[in-house]
Amino acid sequence: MNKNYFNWLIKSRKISILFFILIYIAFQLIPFSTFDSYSAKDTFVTSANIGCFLSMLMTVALPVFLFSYIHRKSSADMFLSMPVSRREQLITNLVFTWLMSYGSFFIGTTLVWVARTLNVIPVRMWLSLQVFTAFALIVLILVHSAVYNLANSIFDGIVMIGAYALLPAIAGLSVTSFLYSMIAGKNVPDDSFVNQLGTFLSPLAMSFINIGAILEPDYSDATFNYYYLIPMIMFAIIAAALLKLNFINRKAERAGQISDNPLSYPFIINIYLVLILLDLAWTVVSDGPEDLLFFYLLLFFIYVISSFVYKRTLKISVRPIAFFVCACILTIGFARVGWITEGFGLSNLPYNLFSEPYLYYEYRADAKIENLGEDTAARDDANENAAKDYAQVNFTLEIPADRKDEYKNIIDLMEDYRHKSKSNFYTRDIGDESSVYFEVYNKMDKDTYRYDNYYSYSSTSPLSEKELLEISKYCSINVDVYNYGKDSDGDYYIDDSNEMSLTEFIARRSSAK
Amino acid sequence: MLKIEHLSKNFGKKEVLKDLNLTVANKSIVGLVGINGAGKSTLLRSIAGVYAPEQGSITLDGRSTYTDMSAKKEIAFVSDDAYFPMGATINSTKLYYQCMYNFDEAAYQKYLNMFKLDPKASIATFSKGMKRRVSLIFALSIHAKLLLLDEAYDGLEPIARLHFKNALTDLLEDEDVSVIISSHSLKELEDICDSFAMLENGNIMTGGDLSESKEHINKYQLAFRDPHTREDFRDFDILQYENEGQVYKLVIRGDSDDIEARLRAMDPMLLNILPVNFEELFIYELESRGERV
Repeated sequence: MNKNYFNWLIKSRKISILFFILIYIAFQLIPFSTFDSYSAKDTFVTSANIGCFLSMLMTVALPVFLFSYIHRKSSADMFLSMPVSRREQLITNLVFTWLMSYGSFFIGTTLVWVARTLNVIPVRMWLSLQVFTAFALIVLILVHSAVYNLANSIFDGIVMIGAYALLPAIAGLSVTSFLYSMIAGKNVPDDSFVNQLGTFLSPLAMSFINIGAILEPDYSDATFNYYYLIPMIMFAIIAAALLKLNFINRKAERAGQISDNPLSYPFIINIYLVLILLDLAWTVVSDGPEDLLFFYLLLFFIYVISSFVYKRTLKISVRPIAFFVCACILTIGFARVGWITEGFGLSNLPYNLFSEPYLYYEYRADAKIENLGEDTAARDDANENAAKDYAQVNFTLEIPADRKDEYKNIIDLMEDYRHKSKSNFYTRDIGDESSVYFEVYNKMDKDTYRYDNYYSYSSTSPLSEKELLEISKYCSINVDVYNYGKDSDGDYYIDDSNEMSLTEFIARRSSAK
Repeated sequence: MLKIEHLSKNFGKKEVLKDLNLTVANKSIVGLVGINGAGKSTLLRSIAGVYAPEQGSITLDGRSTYTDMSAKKEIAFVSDDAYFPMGATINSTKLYYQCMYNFDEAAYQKYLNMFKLDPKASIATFSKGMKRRVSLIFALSIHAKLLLLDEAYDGLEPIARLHFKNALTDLLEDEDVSVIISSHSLKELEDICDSFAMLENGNIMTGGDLSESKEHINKYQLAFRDPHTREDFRDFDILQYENEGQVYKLVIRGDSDDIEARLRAMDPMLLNILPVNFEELFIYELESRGERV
C-alpha cells in the first residue's frame, strides 16, 4: 500500500467520507425507531442486514469510483504517470474500499450492539458476524474490482458487474429448468453440486446465506456453510489473478476502447446466450417447440443488439449469426441426449425412503367422476366442450419410520406407482397433459414446515379406484366434486365444490346411478 | 539525462513507435515535432510511464521511467487532455501534488500569481487555455527533472505564452531540468528550444541542435543566363527545387560556405542566401522525406 496515495484518497474525500459514514449509521439506526426490549434481537438483525446490504453495495460502487481513471485517457495520463506503482495503486484502492465498507459496518453494528442489544446478542454471534463479514467483503471487493477492470470504459465496466452478478442466477435458472424438464421427480439432492450451482457461482449469494445463518440460525433454511469458504477463497484468488492481468499489467491504451477482453463482452454475451438456449432446449425436448419460436426470435434480436453495444457499431457480420444457429442446434442436441439418458442418469440416483423420521406421499388428481382412475383436464376452462363435472382426489399419507413395517404393503404400492410415474415421464407423448401431482418427501417431525428429499412427479396417470381404496385404509382421502353451472348469459362457471371422503363419494355415485 | 533506446510501442497490430532512440541532455529544451499521428503523444506518454514499452528502454539518469517510482517522481507530464476530477479547484488539485510530488509552495504561489487564476474557482468553469495554465502551474511547482509538455501552447493566449516561456527559461537557469515540448506551433518552439526531434512514422526522422540544423539548411535564390535543369544540381542535397524563368529557388542541405562556393562556380547572375526558420526546416525535411518515400 502507498501511504501518500492513501493519504490523498482520504484527505481529498474527507467530507464525503464523513458524510457517508453518518448516513450509513443513520440507516442502520432506522430499526430503532420502533425499538422494544422484547424484540431487541430482531432490531439488531434488521440493523445488521441493512449494514450488510449497504456494505455490499459499496463493494460495487467504490471500485467503480476508484478504478474509473483507467477507463478515461485523460485520467489514465494523470494517475498512471504518478509516482505510485500499479501494484501499490491496486492495493491502496482495495484497502480503501475495504476500510470504507467494513469500517462502516463495524462502527454501525458495534454501536447498535453496545447501545441496546448487548444482553440479547451473544459475543460469539457478534464476533462471527464481524469475522465473516470482513472476509466476505474482501472477496466481494476483489471480485467486483476484477470484473470492473475487465472492461475498457466506465459504462462497460458497470455492465460487466451487473452481468457477472446476474450470471449465477441465469445458471441457476437453467439448472432449475433442467430439473423440471429432464428429471422425473425433479429431485436432485438439495446439497448436490447441480442444485447449488447458482449459489456456488455467486460470492454474493454465499455471503448473504452465511450472514443470514449467523444472524438468524433459528429461521434460516441453512446452517452456516463452512464449505462455502472454499469457493469464496477460490473466487478471491481468481479475482486477484485477473487484477494482476487487467490492472497491474494493463495496457493504458485500452482506455476508452471497445471491451474486447475475452472475459468481458465476448464471454458474457455468449455464456448468456448458451444458458438461455439451454433453458429453452430443455423445454423444447420435453414439451415440444410450440410457443418457443417467438422466444428464439426474441433471443436472436437481443443477441444482435448486445453485439452492437459491444462493438459500438450497427454492422452485422455472419460470424455471430452462424454462432447463434450452431448454439441453437448444439443445445437442442445436448438436451436430446439429456432426455435419452433420463437426465444424464440423474433421475436414477438412489434414494433413502427414511432419511428422516417421517415419510410423506402427497397426491392430487383431477379425475372423471365416473372413474377416479381416469384423468381430466377440464377444470378451469369454462367452455362448452371442457365444461364437465369432475372430482379432485387428494390425500397425504404419513408414514413414521419407526412403524414402517406396518405400512410395508402400502409403501410397496406407492413405490410401484412412483416407478410408473417416472416411466410415464419419459414415455409420454409430447403435448400430453396431466392433472396429477404426486409428491414424496421426508420430514424431521410432523409439525415442521421444512422437508427434505422432495420428489415431485407430474405427467403421470391417476391412481386407480382400487388403489385409492387400499390407500384409504391408511389415511383419509378427500374427494372434491366440482359441478359446472350456467349463468344467465349462458356462460359456464364452476359451482362451489362438494367435499367428501372417498367412501362417501363412491356411495353417493352408486346411489346416483 | 533522459535516454531512450530502441523503443517500440504497438497499439494492437499498429506499430506506433519503431526502434526509437533519443537522448535529452540536462538543461536542454527539446522541441518534439511531427505531423498528426506521428507518435508524439505516444512517445511522451511512454516517457511519462503511462505506456509500457513493448521493446527497448526509457531511463532518466539510469532509472526506468516505467518501473522506478523515484524516476517518476521527477517527471512532470502535462497531457494534451488534462484531467481534473469533478468539482476540482486549484486548491483541491494542489493536495494531489502535495501528496505525490516534491511540491514547492513558494514556486506554486509565484506561478499562480503569474498566470492570474482564482485558486478557489471550479476548474470545470475554466476555458481550455485556463485549464492548460493550471496544469503548467503544477508542472512547474514540483521540482521535476524532466518536464513533458504535450501541445504545450494549445489554448494559451500570447501573454500567457510569454509568461510560460519566461517561466521555463527561469526554471532552466535555476534548476537541473530538461524539457520536451511537443507543439504544432513551431514558431513558438523555435524561440525556446535548443534542440529538436522530428518524428515520422514512429521514428526520429531527424533531430539535433536547432541552430546547427538551421544553419545546415539554407534557401538559395539564383539566376542564370542559360536555362538549367534540376539535373544540373544533382551533386547538392536538394530539399526543395523551384524554377521560374531564369530564377531558381533551391533549399539545400549542407555546409553553406561550401555550397555557396560550388554554386558560384556555376556562374550565376545572382546568388542570395537566406536562412530558414524552424517551420520551414520542418516542411522541407518532411517534403524531402516524401520524395524519397
